[in-house]
Amino acid sequence: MAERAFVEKMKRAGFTGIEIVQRDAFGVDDARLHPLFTADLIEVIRKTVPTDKQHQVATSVVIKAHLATG
Amino acid sequence: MTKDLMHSAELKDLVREAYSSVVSDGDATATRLYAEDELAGVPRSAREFALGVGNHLRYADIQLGETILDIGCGAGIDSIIAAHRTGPAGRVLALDFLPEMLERTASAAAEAGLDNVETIEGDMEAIPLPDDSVDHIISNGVINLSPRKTRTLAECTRVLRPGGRFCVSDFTIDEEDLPPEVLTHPAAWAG
Ligand SMILES: C[S@@+](CC[C@H](N)C(=O)[O-])C[C@H]1O[C@@H](n2cnc3c(N)ncnc32)[C@H](O)[C@@H]1O
Repeated sequence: MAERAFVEKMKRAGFTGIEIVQRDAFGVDDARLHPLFTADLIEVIRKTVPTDKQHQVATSVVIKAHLATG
Repeated sequence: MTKDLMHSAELKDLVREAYSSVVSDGDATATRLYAEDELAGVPRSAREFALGVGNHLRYADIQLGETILDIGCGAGIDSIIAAHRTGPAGRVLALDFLPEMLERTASAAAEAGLDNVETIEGDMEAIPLPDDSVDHIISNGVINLSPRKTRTLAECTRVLRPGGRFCVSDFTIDEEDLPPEVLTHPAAWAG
């Protein structure tokens, strides 16, 4: 899901004060440690994503928000 | 069942399968995401199965006495850190849909000498907690796994009390940056 879509869904759910407080590149080497990135998917990424883009196939974000008080 | 719900059930099975057969990466993920002082008080078993994507706890500003919900607690690394921070007057509700993850969290909490971590088996799309029962939601690398993210976020606002806080780490992807071969790969639906 794109960051924009995440924030939009949070607004619709009723969150307020939504802030992305950190963004980090999530590259193919980080992805190798995650079970949903299967060996097969990693291989497809390595073959199809240009080498200079492989350090950021996704972004890891920290999102903060709160509910309005009463 | 509608096609959409069937698809959603299949996706959840895929996630269950991936996480129930997960193997430890040593502490590569834990040491990449957390500083040594943040890991003090976290048993090795929880460090070795850390599967998160970020360190939102640096921003969460957990207060003493809070009731915290950790969505998709996995082996418990963030639940343990949060339980130390909220102290004996607070508690952490560690939610996961895999019993084997909850067992890891419970035994790590016991090993850390914490009795304020309560494990709950359940789905983030139907959180088994009453309305307005939680002060603070944390979660690490989990919401992107929900086939129905709108529903998951609605559950979050339902269980949070008015003024309640939410602080999570997760993945986002920019579909325009990824080739069709990646976007259409069966394992690439999350994110
Ligand atoms: C990427 S791991 C993160 C684990 C933990 N938060 C950490 O940082 O180590 C995802 C976890 O979410 C759980 N999970 C996935 N889908 C879920 C759902 N629909 N409801 C509850 N838990 C879910 C998995 O069982 C797994 O333990």
